[in-house]
Amino acid sequence: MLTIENGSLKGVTRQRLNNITLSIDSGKLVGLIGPNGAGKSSLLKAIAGIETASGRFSWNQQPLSAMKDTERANTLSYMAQDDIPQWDMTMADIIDIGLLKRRISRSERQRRIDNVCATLNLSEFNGHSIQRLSRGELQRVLLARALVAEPELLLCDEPTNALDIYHQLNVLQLLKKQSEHGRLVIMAIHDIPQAAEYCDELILLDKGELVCHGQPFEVLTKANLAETFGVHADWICNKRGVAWQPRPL
Amino acid sequence: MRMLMSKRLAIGEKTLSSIVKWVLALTLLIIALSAWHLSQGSSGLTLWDWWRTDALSAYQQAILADIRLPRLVLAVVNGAVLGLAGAAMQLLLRNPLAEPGLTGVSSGAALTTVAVLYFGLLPTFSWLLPFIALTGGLAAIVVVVVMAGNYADVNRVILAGVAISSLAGAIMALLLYLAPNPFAFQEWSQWTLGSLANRGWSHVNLMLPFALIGAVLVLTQSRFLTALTFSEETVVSMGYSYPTRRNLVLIAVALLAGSSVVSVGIIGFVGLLAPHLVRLVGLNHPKQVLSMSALAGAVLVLSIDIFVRLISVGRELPLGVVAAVIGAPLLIALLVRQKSRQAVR
Repeated sequence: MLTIENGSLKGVTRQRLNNITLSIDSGKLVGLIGPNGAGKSSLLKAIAGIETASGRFSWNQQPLSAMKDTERANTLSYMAQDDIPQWDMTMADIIDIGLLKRRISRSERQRRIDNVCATLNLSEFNGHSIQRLSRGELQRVLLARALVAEPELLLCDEPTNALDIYHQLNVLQLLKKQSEHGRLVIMAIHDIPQAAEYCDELILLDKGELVCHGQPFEVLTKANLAETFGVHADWICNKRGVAWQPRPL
Repeated sequence: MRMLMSKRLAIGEKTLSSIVKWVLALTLLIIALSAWHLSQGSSGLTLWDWWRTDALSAYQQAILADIRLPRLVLAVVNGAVLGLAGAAMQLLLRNPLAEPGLTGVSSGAALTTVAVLYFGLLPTFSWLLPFIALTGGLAAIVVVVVMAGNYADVNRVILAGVAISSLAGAIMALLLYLAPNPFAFQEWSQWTLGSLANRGWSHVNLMLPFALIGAVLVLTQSRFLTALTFSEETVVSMGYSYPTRRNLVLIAVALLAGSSVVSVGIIGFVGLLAPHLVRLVGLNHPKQVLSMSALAGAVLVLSIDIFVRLISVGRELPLGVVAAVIGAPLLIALLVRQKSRQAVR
């Protein structure tokens, strides 16, 4: 379980996170939504320990800030937005970077990489250099890098960014599957119908403040959407899924 | 089943087979070039003469032991040091155009030397000059580290390095301009233009400790440098304390580059070129780039030094200048190649 008490992060010109307090159970896919600059990425970075925020961030009652670097890295994985590898390497070598901090044998590393590749349908690309992969395939490799360490908490910053619709849904399904395996997956996402459809819970942020946290239907109310995004939204819900028609207020 | 076996993923699959091949090839090349290198010299003695004669005269032994051998060792060690430093910088800054000079070490060392010459302290401190230069170089890296601060952002390092280098360059130019001694520029250029001529074992002894410490430091950080295939943020989330390790690598690069500058002067482009050559043959894994760049650097400096002595008729050309004259067009060719490959993609 992730608990945040009074999480705050100062920026240069404004408060990037302001007194965020919430708790989330494991085994859920949680979407972070909000307009640009709402603090979605900041919250993910604060949880991952990339930026030092004030307040208490704990995982299963254990403060994340008190954990050693390696211990924290064993607990959580963070997938940055559009973090394309700088050097052209084979897929296996890229995924292996996720295990650099682990003192495990070569065969165990190989086993884990094989497993994660099977889960993410990457096995067909073994031995390929990542330059030969499409952006959508590469995104799965980046996800594999984050997952290969078998973290309890997975943080993804806009994992569907820059992907076509097929690969967007593909990544969302894979993340959903991870949460069903007992992990807590928190992702920043811009597409609200996709967030509503795939996420168990949504966290709506605006200007660094927590506006609403709950199940999608509790969060995505007309009032909330008007207040934070400045749009008027008609929801279309039926058995086939969710859609909306946003218009400027 | 066979198909499945061959399709199995392997970490470092490319690493082992091809790296062994390349290490062997480059080592053999270095041995061959070393033999050629030892055969060169104004005395006209060749390796063949040594092979033929059973006993060398004292004169011949002296030429071999005190002139040619130290020059060979300096060429190999300097090449390796520059290649390793260049690879470490490119991996650290996640930038294929980074080079050891970006640490500000060379310009810091050059500035302190010019200052010593300018204030006429050379006669008193002539034996101390390399240490003074090294101190200047390390002072520059300290300023860069302080300016880069605690931020997980490589651009701050690059900007700080560029700023320090240009500042040192400007002050140096000013000192040279104001120098009362009309030969100041010549004295300075003698010192900074990298050259392997007239060097002996004292230069080897001078650089070796710093080079060794720097190399060991860089190699201990090879996992961190591998992780930097991803952004600094990701590396921090993986549990690496970024600023500490970055500073460690910067200091290591400063020791490597500094050891080279104080022993043979500034040799440009080798640090930039060696990692590119390694990547060009398809060795892209950061660990491969680190180790192979050292070998590639040694091959480069050895070949350039052989070339320098082949083309020099009267006065020997400075190795640093020739390295830049050969290196710059080679680098441009590499970049054009890289660009066209990306355009196709």
